[in-house]
Amino acid sequence: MKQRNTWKKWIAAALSLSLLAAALALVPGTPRPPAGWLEGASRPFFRLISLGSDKVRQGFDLLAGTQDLRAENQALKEELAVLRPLAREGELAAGENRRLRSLLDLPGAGRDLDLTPAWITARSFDNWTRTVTLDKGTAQGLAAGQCVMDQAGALAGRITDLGGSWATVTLVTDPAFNAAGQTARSGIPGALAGDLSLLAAGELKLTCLTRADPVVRGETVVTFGGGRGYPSGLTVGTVDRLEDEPDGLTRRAVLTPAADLEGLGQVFVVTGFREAG
Amino acid sequence: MARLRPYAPAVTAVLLQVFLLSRLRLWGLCPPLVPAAVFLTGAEEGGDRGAAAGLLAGALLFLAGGSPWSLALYAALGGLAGAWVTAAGGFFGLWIRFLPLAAAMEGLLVLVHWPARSALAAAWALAGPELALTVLCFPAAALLPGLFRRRRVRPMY
Repeated sequence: MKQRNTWKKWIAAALSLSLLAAALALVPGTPRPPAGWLEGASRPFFRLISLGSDKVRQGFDLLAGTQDLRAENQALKEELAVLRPLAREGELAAGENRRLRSLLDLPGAGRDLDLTPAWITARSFDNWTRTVTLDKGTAQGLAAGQCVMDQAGALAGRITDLGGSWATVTLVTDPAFNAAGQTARSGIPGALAGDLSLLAAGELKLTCLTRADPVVRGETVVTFGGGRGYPSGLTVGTVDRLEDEPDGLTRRAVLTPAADLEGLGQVFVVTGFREAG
Repeated sequence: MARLRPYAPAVTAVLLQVFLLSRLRLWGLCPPLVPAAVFLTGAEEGGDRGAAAGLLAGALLFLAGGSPWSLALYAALGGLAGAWVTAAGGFFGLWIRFLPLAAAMEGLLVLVHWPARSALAAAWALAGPELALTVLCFPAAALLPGLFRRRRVRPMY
């Protein structure tokens, strides 16, 4: 039988299709219709498999982590004993703060968030990105740029792409993630971003720090909204180490995310917020 | 159905990748099964079917939210595997020949991501472990064609 040997034509066809799809993706505001259709059609299956695999993983975690949980429980009890007196002091200080604010006619401090709960239905399957897909979209009031938090209120990522009833969230460790952040204790601002070199370790970075900035290991980093469309004060992570940037002029803090990005199930999208004070 | 059988391992690998392996992390990375499955289709079925299986796998990955370049990348992998490798080399021969093609594929991924996202060294820092995982996934991918081979029924008489 004569060998057809048309594999070069197949590759040429594939390359043409790749170029066409990549060119369409470059046009601003052009959604990827096939991806959107598949998202819609496959969502029930993704949701079912997501639920099943999460339960299996939770079961394994439970079996493997009993010993760890005991140790963690003991450590938390000790921490609680230390924190209780501090909480009482905080309550007293908050009361005093309220009274002083009322004396000076200042508005109340703090923030008020409108949250929309959503479930994760799919995760990125390649090693060059870290994204998840939610089961809510524009129909539920979601919009690009909104922050997504885990159940503990830690920042998980931001919405970058969405349709009627689905949304893609770029997680904080993705190289395409960006937001403004600041250290909670010293108040040093910086740019939060993912990095390919930190992706496998599940870390992100706070860049644009100078050598004089008093950022220390273990310090908490939070978001800094500043009118950018997301709230300030969402916990992002803690400083794991400080490194010099390749340019030698600035430093970066490598952060361990506060949210458990691999174990995300239900998340909360910040669809609105009011900040005062 | 028999005409579609050569493409079944690559499609199965895509489904496993999207639904199951995307939830696993080994050394922080998701095990990539599709490259080895496409390579094996090319090596066992020839360049034509290898390239077609690669195109099909890339298209499915793209539709599931992957990069549009996966179409060209996997079609090239399947086509080149069929043109360069024959299944006569045996399991270990195929595994060894998979290594340079997988390395070339990672090199292409680095080149694609380098200008867009990060420094070259950072991209290699990710590509190196991913290459190791891709090669380690080869035995698992080699089991897939066996699932779809027609079982010969021995005559009773």
